[in-house]
Amino acid sequence: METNTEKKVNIKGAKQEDIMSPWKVVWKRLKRDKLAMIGLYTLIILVAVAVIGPFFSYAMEATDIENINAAPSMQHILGTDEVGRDVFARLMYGGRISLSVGIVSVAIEVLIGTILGGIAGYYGGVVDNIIMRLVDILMCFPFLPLLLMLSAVMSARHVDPKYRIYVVMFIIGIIGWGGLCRLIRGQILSLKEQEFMQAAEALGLKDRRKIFRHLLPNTFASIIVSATLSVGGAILTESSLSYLGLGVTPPTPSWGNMIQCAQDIYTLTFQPWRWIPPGVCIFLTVMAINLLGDGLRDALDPKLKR
Amino acid sequence: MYHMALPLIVLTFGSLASIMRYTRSSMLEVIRQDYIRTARAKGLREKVVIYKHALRNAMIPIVTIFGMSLPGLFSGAMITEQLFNWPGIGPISLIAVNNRDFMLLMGINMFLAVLTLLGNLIADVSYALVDPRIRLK
Repeated sequence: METNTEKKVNIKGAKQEDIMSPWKVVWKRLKRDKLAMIGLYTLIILVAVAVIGPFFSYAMEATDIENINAAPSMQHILGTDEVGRDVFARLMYGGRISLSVGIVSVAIEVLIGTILGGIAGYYGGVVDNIIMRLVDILMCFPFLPLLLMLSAVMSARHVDPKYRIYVVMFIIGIIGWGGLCRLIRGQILSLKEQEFMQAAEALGLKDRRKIFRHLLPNTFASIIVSATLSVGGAILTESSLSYLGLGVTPPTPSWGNMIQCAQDIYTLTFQPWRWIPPGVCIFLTVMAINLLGDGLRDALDPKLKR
Repeated sequence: MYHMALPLIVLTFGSLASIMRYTRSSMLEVIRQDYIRTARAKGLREKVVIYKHALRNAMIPIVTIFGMSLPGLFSGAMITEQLFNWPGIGPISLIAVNNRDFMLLMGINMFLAVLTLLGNLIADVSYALVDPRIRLK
């Protein structure tokens, strides 16, 4: 009975039912994946709270001198820090910065890494050598001295702290693409010897089309895993950059520099409301992106039939 | 050996998760290929199918990650070594930074650079080992 009615509906509404755009198929598959949807909703909530929340709360620099280092209460939902700033408000402001650093820098990373990795893997020979040596240099380079130097230059040139964060995103993206590039190149080295590439060759496709349409989609699994893992890494790198005075400097909060206060043993033991919330936020972000990435990988896989 | 247990656990768990995820995703890619079905149809044991036919083809990202983690094993162990009071390269480089011992620092950086190159070379060679179709000239 079931199949019969379904068939009839299909024949009747063939135009709507059978022809779905690839993205609609992906979305339909993604919706069926509960874990991925949990990840998506968590991410949406985090972003929404970070964007909208600050309009309804204390300003991030407003100090409440009567309640310094206060424990969570009705007045300050997550307590206050050492100069009486509301932790919850700072958490939301910090979320804006940390989330955008995480996502933008990973986007830069993926963009450079994928394109160069694809080109290196496909052409091989001299091109491969040049790009891979570039990656080797990038991976060998000790970044601490470079970052200290950059931070000194930026201070000397009086770069507005507002714009520093963009520099930080850019730097994290530029540092990080080496690993992804090697990963992609390795896979493409193997993929380009397979039969479907001979078919692509026989069709006389352009190189660009071969790389971006036929080779890179096959490495999608690794790209997603690498990207989702490095979002958390980028947020933490931002925190260590802030510590060096390169990133967001203290009056402006970010999840990273809020966690830094846990280095103080007294805060660590007696004031957990100051470092647990940003930690939980980073954890939630990374978790949500990982879940979403996993679901997206499964949904984008055309060979998967359910 | 007894003192190695805890730092070892910390360092292992750090990289365990990411390697596991890479393996999972590339295994999922491989496991649905036709040759896996062929191997199953031949009546091979599941163990052989998984480890010999599937894992070998899924190894390429993992080999890359292994190659890249070689220098990380040394430089990344800095905090761990410090915490567990293990007299390794981590505490030495930390002391060098604090004492402005540039020669030692340069030496350590050089050492790490060589390790990076070595790790990448090993990964490159292992590609050909894992997948004989790859021809590196």
